[in-house]
Amino acid sequence: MNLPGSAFPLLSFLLAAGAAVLLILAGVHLIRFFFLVLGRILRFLKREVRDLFQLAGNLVSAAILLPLVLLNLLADHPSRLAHYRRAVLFELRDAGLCVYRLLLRNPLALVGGEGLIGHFERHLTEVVRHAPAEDLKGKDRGMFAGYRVVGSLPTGGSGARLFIAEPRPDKAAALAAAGFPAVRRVVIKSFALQDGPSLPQIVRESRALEAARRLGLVLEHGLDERHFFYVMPYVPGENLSTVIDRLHAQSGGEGLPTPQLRKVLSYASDLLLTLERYHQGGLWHKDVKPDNLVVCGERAYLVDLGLVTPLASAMTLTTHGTEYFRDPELVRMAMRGAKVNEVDGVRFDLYGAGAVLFTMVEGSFPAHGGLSRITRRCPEAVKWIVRRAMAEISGRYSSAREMLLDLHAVLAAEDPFALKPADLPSLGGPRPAHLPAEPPPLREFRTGPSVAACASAAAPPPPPVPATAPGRRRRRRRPLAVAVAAVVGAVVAVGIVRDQSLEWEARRHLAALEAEEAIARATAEASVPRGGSEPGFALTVTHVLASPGAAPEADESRILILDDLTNAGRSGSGELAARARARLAEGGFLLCGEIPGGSAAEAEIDLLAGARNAVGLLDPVDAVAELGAFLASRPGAPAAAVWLRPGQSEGSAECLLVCTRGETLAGRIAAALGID
Amino acid sequence: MLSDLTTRFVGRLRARDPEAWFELWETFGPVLRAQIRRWGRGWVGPETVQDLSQETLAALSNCIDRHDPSRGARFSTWVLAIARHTLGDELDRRMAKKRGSGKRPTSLDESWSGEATEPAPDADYEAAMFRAKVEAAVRKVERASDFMDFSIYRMRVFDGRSGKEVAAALGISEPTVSRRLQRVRQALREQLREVLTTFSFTEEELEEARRNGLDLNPNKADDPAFDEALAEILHRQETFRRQALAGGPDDPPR
Repeated sequence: MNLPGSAFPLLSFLLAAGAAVLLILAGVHLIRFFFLVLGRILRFLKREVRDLFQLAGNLVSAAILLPLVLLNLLADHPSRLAHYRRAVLFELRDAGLCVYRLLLRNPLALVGGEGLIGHFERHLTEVVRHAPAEDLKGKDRGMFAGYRVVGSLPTGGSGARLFIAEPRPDKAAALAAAGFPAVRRVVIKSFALQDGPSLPQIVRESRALEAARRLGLVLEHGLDERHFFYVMPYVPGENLSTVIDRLHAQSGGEGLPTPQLRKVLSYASDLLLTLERYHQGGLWHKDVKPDNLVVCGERAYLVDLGLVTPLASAMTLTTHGTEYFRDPELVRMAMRGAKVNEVDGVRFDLYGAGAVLFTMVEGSFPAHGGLSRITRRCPEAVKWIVRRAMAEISGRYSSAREMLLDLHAVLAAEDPFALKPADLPSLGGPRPAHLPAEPPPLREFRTGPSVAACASAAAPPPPPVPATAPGRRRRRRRPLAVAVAAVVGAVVAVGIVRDQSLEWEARRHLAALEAEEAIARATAEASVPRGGSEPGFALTVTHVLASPGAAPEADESRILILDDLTNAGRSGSGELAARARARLAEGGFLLCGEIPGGSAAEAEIDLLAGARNAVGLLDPVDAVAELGAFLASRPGAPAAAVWLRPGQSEGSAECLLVCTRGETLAGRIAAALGID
Repeated sequence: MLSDLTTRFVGRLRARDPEAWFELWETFGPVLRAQIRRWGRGWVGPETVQDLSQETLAALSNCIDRHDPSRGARFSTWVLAIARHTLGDELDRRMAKKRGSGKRPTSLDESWSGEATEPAPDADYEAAMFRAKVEAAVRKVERASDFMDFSIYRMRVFDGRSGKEVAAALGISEPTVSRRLQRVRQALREQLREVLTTFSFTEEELEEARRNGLDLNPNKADDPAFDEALAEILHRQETFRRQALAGGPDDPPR
């Protein structure tokens, strides 16, 4: 190609200008890089000098204080000795931190290793924080009458200590007689009475114990001269946070593959079924978070009763809970001085359930509260469920059942990603045909056929091998890589040994548990009287409220059943409840409310939740009055309610009868029950 | 010149209204935590940062009676000054304790809250404070709106779905989506105006919304730009919160 002569100078000029621009840009970048490096070096030097001086200060202080320690040791002044010893230890601890910064932190920060430092510092702190408390030794193992302490768990924020214990034979028999068969291991939460700050916590936790016992969440509680304690079933397994971390690590950061997604959704379903049981029992868990869910096999169990509160409590609302899993609205209401029974605890628990579901699919907690976005692979319908659960309180799901129905629509879908929010039952979509079985109550804890799954959960498959870096980079980082590999190797080795031990422990424990439970169940079944006019049917009416005050449309042919017998844990009590129900049905009444294993309509569940909320933990006299008022105020409610409760003696049961249509109806119900 | 809203809010703070304090903490707590963490890097741990950001608000509570708005300090500068004072206090306390030198913590001089230039807040901090105000407004609208309305806005604007997709997902028509979007947008504009006015001491602070692409006057032509700017601000705020909580990089997103 021929160019005119005048084009050459222009072209040369343009090339020269381009080259000059490139040179200038390169120079600017070089200068910026130079100042960046210089800044880093200066910061490094500044930090090193500062830490060096601080180290010197710490060591000089320790050297000065050490003779004082020795002097007081010789002079036998224990109080002063403790004081100076503590001061020396503080100085040495700070000196250790200086050495760490001088030798590791500052040099790593110089080469841009802030992320690595942050990771180690955070994770090491977490690991140390979650270490179990010191084990009891010698005589102290028997400090709880009837139990032998065999281990301990990490302590929570309440100041209480948590022990794993095995009931002695006589205690195991007593628990079996009280309706808790096959209890092999328990968790004992113990507050030392000498610790003044624990007292408010003790008072708070003791409020819900009776209700928790009725639900089988607490086996027994006691108070001696040294401790206040309560005993709960022990659930072996890992907490949900650990499981979530592992599942997301295996998925490579893109989000959970569909099988794992279904698995975490089933954990959420377990959580909601458990919450439903809490709420129907008049309780508010108040601390729903991944750390309080224990996963064993395919099921998740909600543990930790530290903040459990009766929904009908008249106490002032507190802000206790865990940030990011606690609705900020709760804090606002607490600051206004609201009472517990003035707020909707059910919806606050559901906010926590939504936050747990968010954490499961996103792999991190909802840092932005209700506005947090799910950025990882997740069906649109699940995003909707999370949003609705964490929405402003009036827009939130009103019951665990409502949320559960939506969740099960996703679980039942062939392809969860094809399901639209509009297909969810809460938005008018079809209801799922059936709900999966509820996880066994804690007092009957067992994992059944999923022992292997539990074991496999404890021993994760090896992580994928990372791609190797180019040779030169590898050579340069080899000393660091070797050191990190050594530390990681040691940690992994310890982890594997621990996992193997956990797996063996879980297998042994579960096998023994199943065998014992089968024996106990057979014994319990044999002791329940059978037949029509059974002598063992000791149901007595203890309180009757027969006040004509029903809503005009109240239905006289329907009876609301509040059943505390089926889950009471006493031998044969479930049988008594079933018989009472059968007799009422034979008497021509239509029953609604707690039908074991049945699928009640949503309106009925709401009715039941309202009734449970109304009676809370009131004593029978007040409770029947509250229940009467509730039935009278609720449009479409039945005209009567029958509340079945465990009696004072073994094998007996009480019946509280509430009629809003006068004594005639009460007489008809009593006649149907065969009671005068 | 302070607006009525600001005066009323400061009045509630002065009256020790717990809700007003919680609002302040909820809105600016994360920004303060991040700022204190940046300053105290290597010296204070996450728990101390948490304590110090609470102490900052406690210090605010002590000095709010002496605040003189006529001296021209920005709201953000005012809060920052107190945070810095609290951190300085903590470091002084540590050094005094360690050396036994008897050095006393510095006293909170009123000039901290009066000088507009001292201490100099950087652009990251100012941006974070502005985003915190926007976030507070969005939260208020979320609380006040119908759940379905806000969800539609969220899916359409924050999640970036098209109107057609949102309509299909929720089984409603596209005009319904548009109508509900407009309702939330209107509420957002009103709430943004209110929040920005409440937490601003100067005219310049009030102008921040416009500078960041948020036209608070109803204008159909500007709606897409408004939505886009709002989504961008919220996404940055979310990233900022995540990083601040995870103890991530020193520099939050601008």
